[in-house]
Amino acid sequence: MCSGRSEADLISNLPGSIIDNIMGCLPLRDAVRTSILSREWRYKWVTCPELVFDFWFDQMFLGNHKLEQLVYPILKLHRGPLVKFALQVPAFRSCPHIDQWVDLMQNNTIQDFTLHISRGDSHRLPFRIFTFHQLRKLKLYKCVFNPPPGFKGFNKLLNLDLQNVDLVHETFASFISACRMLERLRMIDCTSFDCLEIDSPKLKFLEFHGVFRFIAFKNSPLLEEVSISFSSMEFKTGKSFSSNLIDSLSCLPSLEKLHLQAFALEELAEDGLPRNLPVTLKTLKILHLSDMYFEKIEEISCVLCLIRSSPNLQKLKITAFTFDVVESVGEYLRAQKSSDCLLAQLKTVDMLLFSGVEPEMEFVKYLLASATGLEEMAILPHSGSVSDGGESILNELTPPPNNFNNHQFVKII
Amino acid sequence: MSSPEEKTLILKSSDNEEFLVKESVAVQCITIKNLVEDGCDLDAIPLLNVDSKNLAWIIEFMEKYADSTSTDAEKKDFDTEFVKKPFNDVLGLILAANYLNFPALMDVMCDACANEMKLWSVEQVREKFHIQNDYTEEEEKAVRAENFWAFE
Repeated sequence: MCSGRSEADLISNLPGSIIDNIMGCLPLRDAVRTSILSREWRYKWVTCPELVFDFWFDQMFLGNHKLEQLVYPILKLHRGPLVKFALQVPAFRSCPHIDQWVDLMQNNTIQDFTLHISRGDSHRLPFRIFTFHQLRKLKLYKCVFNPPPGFKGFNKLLNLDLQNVDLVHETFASFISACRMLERLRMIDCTSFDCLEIDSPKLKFLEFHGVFRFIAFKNSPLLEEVSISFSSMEFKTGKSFSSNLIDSLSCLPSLEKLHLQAFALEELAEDGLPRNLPVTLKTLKILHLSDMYFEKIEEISCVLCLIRSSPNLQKLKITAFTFDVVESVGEYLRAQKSSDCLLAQLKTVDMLLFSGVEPEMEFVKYLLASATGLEEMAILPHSGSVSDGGESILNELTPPPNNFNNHQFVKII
Repeated sequence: MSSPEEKTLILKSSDNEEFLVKESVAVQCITIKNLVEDGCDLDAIPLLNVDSKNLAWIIEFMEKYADSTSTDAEKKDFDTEFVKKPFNDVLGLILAANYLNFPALMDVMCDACANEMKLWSVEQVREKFHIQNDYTEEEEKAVRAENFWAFE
């Protein structure tokens, strides 16, 4: 141990900014506990720039005190710029207190705001939230999001994460459009859309789970990662759903990574099995298709069609959802001539929840034959359907047909 | 012949020990970066507030973080081992990171300091930070009442 004198010198030399930095790393409760150290420390915690009420905060009180009683006094004691406020505790319900808390927050410093309502009715966001002009990140769960008339957008917002949020169709598109710096948009189980318009010049990442009939990308030159999944099949009401979707996606000049559910493509087959798409997804490098049933020729042909129309695809990931074994699907796949289209750029394939039934195996064999540059095929067996750890699957697939590299690159993971 | 990436700097600790560091690595410290950009042409850059013990550690950290081949997971593992130092040394590194304006090191060390603090009692924090409890009994009661929930 060092001599007491030099230690004390060290600590008395700690500038305030360092204390703030250390305090910022402490969870809220520990930071507040420092108030008891000495008179000098009594209100050091009140300038901490973040107030996070989360699962860990909640756990410490185990129902002795309700969160509602604590937030107001803490906010009242708080001084200095509040940069981050997060409220995400289990079993939290909407209450009028929330609006009182928002009233206490300085609207010109908050950059990161999270409000997570777990139970009961959605919370109607107070208009004051829309005066938080410094917001970079906004995360809402179970709220009603209704910007006031004339709202000009959060012009510094980078990251918007909405889950179970009620949106107003007429104003949402213009809201997104007004947030010119937006880079990440996540919408999970929000209001259903007839037409979802995305006009977002800096958007790089979009994740959507819910319902829309059409999606239109206006001016999204940087969008490189898109994940779309539908919570209901009811959207498939008319013709051309799938081709509209693919058309919209093909307008994205930077699209590199795409996730879709396989059934979203099925309507490409409504006028007969497609060979190729009228558009090419030239920039697509990574494709993930989930919920693939392997039970309908339409599904298989549309999937192959999409793969063939992505000439620069490097990685393919398929999450299977196979229940019934349909013989005609296996036959259809065997009939596909692999030489029709060589997937020269495809390097990795991941097959997840793989049951090893004939249609799946034929699909894999087709890929092994067509992907001349394939380096790795990884298969994750579906534990409910495969009892031998994938051994029989592996035996059937190796050595792969037309083994160009003459080494085994199929593996069970 | 030598490109800027290959240029080596000499960093001199407060106790006159010299360390060779690539410029591309050393400029993670904004203080050093500014000196270099201002055209500092001294043979060695004197770091008056950093002794050789701390400087050696800082260089170890800088080199790990400048290495483009190390993954985030590897950096995390490195951090976990790196911070296993006596509390005194943790504080010393925090001060050095502050002087050198090295944000990555500062964040890792402050986080380490906070993690230790979480485990201490109020008395232990006072002891380690050499904080004199100057509250009167009444004042202490008032503080505990004001933030009652934190002291249960």
